[in-house]
Amino acid sequence: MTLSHTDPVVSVDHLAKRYGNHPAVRDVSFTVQRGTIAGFLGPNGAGKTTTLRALLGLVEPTSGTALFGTTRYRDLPEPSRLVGALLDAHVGHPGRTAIGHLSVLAAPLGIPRSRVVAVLEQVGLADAAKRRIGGFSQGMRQRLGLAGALLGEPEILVLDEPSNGLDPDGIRWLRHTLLDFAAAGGTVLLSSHVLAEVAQTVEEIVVIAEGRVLAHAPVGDFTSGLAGKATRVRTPSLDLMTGALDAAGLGYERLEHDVLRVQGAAPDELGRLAAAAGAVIYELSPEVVDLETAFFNLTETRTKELAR
Amino acid sequence: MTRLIRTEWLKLATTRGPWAVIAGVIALTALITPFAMAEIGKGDASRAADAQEALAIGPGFITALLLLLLGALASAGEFHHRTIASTYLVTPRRGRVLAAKLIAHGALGAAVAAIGAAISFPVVLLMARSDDLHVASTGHLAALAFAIVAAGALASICGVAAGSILRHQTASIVVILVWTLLVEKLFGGFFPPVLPFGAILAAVGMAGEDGPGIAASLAIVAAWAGVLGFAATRVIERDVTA
Repeated sequence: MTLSHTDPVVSVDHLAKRYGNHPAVRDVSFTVQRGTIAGFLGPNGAGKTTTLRALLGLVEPTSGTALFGTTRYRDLPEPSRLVGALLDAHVGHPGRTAIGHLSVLAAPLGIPRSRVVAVLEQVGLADAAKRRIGGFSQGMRQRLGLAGALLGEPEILVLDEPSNGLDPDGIRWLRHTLLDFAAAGGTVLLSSHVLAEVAQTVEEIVVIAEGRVLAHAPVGDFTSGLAGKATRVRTPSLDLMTGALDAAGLGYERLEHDVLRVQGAAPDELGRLAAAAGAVIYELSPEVVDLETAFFNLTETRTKELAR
Repeated sequence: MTRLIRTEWLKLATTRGPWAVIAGVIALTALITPFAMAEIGKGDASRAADAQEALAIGPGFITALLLLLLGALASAGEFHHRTIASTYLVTPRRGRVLAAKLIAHGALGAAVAAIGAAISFPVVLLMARSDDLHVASTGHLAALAFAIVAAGALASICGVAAGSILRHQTASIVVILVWTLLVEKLFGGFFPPVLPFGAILAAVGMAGEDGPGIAASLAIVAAWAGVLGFAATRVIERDVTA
């Protein structure tokens, strides 16, 4: 089965999941378009894993839907050929060999042994094929988990914290693997709480905290805008500029004798404000915030807002 | 469905548990059967019945207990080792996974019991001949052999169903051991024909003269396997969070 080329390949709509009285996911909605690498970010306990498990048919949502195209995972024919998933570093029976583990996953789909051998080579575990999983490091388990996800040659990868346990080499290898997968037309949804790792891989991000989506945007927009829009203003007309900012109700701080950092306004907006006030401007530049800072700014602010 | 059954066979073949059970059945049957035959008194009136028990103690009693445990460990082990998520990701129709597991383990149970019987029958019959003891008619021996094989299959099925319901390896082991060796013993000295393990023992000829017949006992065990299997189908749709 292949999905429509126009619809989102992943659609999560007002998903909620309660375990008894505990709301693990309150209200999560987002879509992922074909050919993108989307990061699903949030602190531990935010609801990432529950959302992914609901998407993959392992937990039943209390309300809302989580679909691939327009179909639930459980209703897809041979879903592993469309969606490859890695949910847990504990990928297999510790007494089983790596090749035995993948053979067990391949058997229901009729995938030949040659494909099993090929994915072991792809993830760099060819030499460990006949070793028992119980003796694997966590990084090797993650590679084996990814081999399992790739086994059915899927169009979509859903990966929960795939870089857990990987050394720097492994993280670089994972990044290249995912970029190659997306370059070939594949779609990736990966969760992480280690932002520095996904920053160089993902194109768009969905930020979740306390079971709700806080932001969904391309990485660039997220770092420059959603995370707390700020603009650096260099002006010799400091009094005129600060007067205009005060009148507009915009917050600012003085960084240098002629430099202001203005919160909550983009450069074009400030340019108009300065022109109206007759202030001379030497520099107007959006403040570039790294993903990690933006993420913490956003989650802290929104979590406090939700608590109120 | 054939692929799924083959997958369950592959799961069994690629772990040590089934091989350990097969080795255990062979070793224990080979050790215990001659010992049980040697214990039969010369002038004892119930020598034939005792010899029939000696036939079944390895491939019947010990094998059924080990197969119950193996089945439960295999199905609950999917949760313990967290392989259940990948199993359901590949085959989201959980009822089909359960059915395949029950069939594969049923076949394994029958095969293991047959191996045990292939050891105990020659030992008992050879020792009985040298002792001038008539164990049973050929027809009754064939019926006992069939019962042992069927009981092995049904014990495996009960174990798989119990493990699927409990989803916890340690709990499965404790429940099975307490149930078979304590609860059933307390409620009727092992042989109330309505309880599953007692019915297994009755089916393989370990209930003595007073036990229900082979067919009736197997029917009772099959009914228990059906009840447990049905209960398992009711709980497998629960969330997989591990």
